[in-house]
Amino acid sequence: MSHSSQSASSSIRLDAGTHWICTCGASKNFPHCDGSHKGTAFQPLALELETAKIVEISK
Amino acid sequence: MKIIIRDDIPAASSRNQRLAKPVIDLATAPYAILVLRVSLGLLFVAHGGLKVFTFTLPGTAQFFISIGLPGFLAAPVAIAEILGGLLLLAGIYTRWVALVLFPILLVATFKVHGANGWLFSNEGGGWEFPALFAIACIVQFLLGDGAWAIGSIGQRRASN
Repeated sequence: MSHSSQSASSSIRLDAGTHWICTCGASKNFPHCDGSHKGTAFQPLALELETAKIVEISK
Repeated sequence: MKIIIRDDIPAASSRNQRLAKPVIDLATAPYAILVLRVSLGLLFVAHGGLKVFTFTLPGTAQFFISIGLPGFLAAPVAIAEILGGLLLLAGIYTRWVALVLFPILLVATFKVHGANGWLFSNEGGGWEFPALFAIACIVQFLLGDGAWAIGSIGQRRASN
């Protein structure tokens, strides 16, 4: 799995399971939530995958 | 924010993924394999039984010697044919049994029937039948168990 942190868009392969996706944009580990939304109105998005998928996320 | 989710298709798709779907009908293929497996099993049991009960082992050994094969092979070949045939009928270690039986048929094709010409109805039997029989063994090796094989019951349980 490749982490392309702090880019506007990232395409990553996510395994099956639940992934917390950053929605506030403050995560240093984007697109994964790292808890940086604390103090903002944003909550991470729970992405549940039944099988491994290629996920492309743009801010 | 935009999220695009695509199927994860491995770049280097394996041989199975490339061939499994387009070339065979998975609904009927296991029964085709079963038919081949049972035919081969019956044929092997019949030929092994022929060597033991009709020709008898000393008779088979004599026949082997007459065509330039070592006589001591008579019993091992007869046992391999009967045991291998039964394993094929039951569908136990199908692939490996078929692979082990293949050399017997190569010898039958080249040493036993090779000199009789190709036509099956030639005197002594032409080599086309043992050649087809040998190829059928390799086909069985490539196909595996098929339907109703005892050997694959455990696997099926494990995958459920």
